[in-house]
Amino acid sequence: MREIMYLTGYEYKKIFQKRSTWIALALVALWTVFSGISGIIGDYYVEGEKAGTRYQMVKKEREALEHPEIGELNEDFFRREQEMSELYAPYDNYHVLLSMIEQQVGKIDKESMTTEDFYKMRKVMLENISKGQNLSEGERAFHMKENEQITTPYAYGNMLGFDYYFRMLPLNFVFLSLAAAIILAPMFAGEYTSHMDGLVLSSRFGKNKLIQAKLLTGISFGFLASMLFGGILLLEIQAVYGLSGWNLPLQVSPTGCYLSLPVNLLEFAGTVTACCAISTCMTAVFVMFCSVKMKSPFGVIIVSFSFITAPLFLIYMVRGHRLLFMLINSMPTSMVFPQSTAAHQLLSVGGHYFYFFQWVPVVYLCLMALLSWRSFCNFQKHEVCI
Amino acid sequence: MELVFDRVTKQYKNKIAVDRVSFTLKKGVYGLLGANGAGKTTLMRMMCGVLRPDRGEILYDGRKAEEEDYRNVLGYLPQEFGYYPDFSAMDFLMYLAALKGIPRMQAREKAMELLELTDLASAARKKIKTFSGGMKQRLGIAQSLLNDPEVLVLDEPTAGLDPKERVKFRNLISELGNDRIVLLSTHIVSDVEHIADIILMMKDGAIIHQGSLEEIIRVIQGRVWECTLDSQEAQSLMENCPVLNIRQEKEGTFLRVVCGQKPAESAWPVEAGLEDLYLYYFSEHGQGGK
Repeated sequence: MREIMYLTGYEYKKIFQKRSTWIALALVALWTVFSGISGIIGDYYVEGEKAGTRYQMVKKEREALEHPEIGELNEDFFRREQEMSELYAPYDNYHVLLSMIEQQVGKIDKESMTTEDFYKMRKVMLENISKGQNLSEGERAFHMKENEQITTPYAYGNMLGFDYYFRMLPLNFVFLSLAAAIILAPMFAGEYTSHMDGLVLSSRFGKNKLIQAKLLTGISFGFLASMLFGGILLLEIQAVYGLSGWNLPLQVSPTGCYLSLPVNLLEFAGTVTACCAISTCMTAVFVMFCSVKMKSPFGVIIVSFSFITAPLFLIYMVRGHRLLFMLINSMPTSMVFPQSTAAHQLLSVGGHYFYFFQWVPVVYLCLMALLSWRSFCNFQKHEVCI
Repeated sequence: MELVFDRVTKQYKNKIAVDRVSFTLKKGVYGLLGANGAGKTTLMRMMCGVLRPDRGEILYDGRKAEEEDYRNVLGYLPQEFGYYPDFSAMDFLMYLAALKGIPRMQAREKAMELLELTDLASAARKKIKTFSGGMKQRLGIAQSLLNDPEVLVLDEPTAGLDPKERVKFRNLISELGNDRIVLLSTHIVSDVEHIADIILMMKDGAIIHQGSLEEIIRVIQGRVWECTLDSQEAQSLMENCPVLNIRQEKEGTFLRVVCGQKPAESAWPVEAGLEDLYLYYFSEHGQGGK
């Protein structure tokens, strides 16, 4: 094991000696920093009039949401909201939720909304979504049961940070996957193009520990980069929006409005971050597999870019076809989208239902093992030809 | 210490690169001679386990060439010596030492020793991409010796070296051959002539001759002639015999040829050399193997 770790160190050294690595990472870092603060850049307008800067607006909204009197989506909340003659910060998010519900159930009477109405509407909304997505009876029953497990009235507070995190995360990880493709493409193919394959394969550890070290490097790079950039984004968001609403139910954030998953924001953030990390690792393994096969890093980058970006477009084309949807939605790029990880379409095994975030990582682990093993065998059998 | 090639065959599509080659190598320096495309590099790659024979096997003291144990005692300098441009010479040697399973402390000492030996100590911290062709070749030789190999395979080790460096490495290789198997291939016939204990001549994928310099030269001993002829006679002779050397002199055209009988009245016999044999086999009129 010590030799593998030592060789892994050298693989990292090779990676970080390339200018392309630094450029790719710098671009991802820049995007991460920008996406974390983009919400506070510029001014805030009300009816065409400048009301202040976006930062002031966020600050005001944050303070209002963290106010002790806004603790639950209960009778008091609805009464106070109806008493307000103009829009007031803590109720902005509530109005977004209502609009989202309205899109699924049709026009609703917002003026005389009571607690009971709100939760009833949500239930109708879930039923409509189930019908719209052609879910099976079992899936519908499962989602209703899940929905009932969420404690009502919903706890309410500052969900801004987590919601912003859920919105920014996908694009950040798509960029990270593209960067990983550029960085890891030469992992094996670089040995062919630099004519080092003969030397490394004729060395003692060239056909065993070196390959293990390369695979470990790729996977650990995917994981560490995910943690690093996910962490940077979360820190920025904590500084700007705050993460004090970690124990609120997922359903109070616009990202989770349509979902029935009974978890709090922190648990969901952990789940989607883990999905993002394992998706990046899966992409890394795929890139390395191509790298063994293709002999040219440039070709590997082209194939990997297609692999990463194709699901972004294909997902819209397969909405009506369940099997294709399950396939495209389980691809690594899809799995960085929070809504995809907790999509309503479930995998049914022996009467048990599983969300994407539950079964896809298991499939990824199996695929990663399989592709790693194939990469291992292919590089081991690689022949240095004239 | 015995490396056995047993009916080793390698074919690329419809070209047979190595054709049922069988021989045994023991301690000493072996020189592999052959024209371009004769199959030397393919043979060496199979010997280093980076190319699999289609048929036959290569065994070192009973171990197969694909095994880790064999790779552990192998040193290899490929014809196209690859490197990582941004690594320094020291980093490169340390990396290859890690690949060869040499402990870090020992590797550092050995790397320094080899950098001294190859006159690269002053460039130890410089990036390889700044090296000249000769420096890269010396670094290649250094890396092949890192693990003090029992089997050393050198594919054109002196290519790119200046005459002084060539002589130095010739002597070094000669020394190394005392206690290990060294197989080197080169186009520089004089290198093989000076250091190889046994010469293997390869043509069209087959070993057509093997033996010591004296044994191998015996084939054309007494058949090498020199003469100076007028241009018409020279032309006629050149059409009939393999010409080893030709030059214009005041008296006419000087020729060195291989011929079974005296080619001209004025011809005189000369001592045959390895280069004569090489040209005899691999020139346009080459006879070898036929």
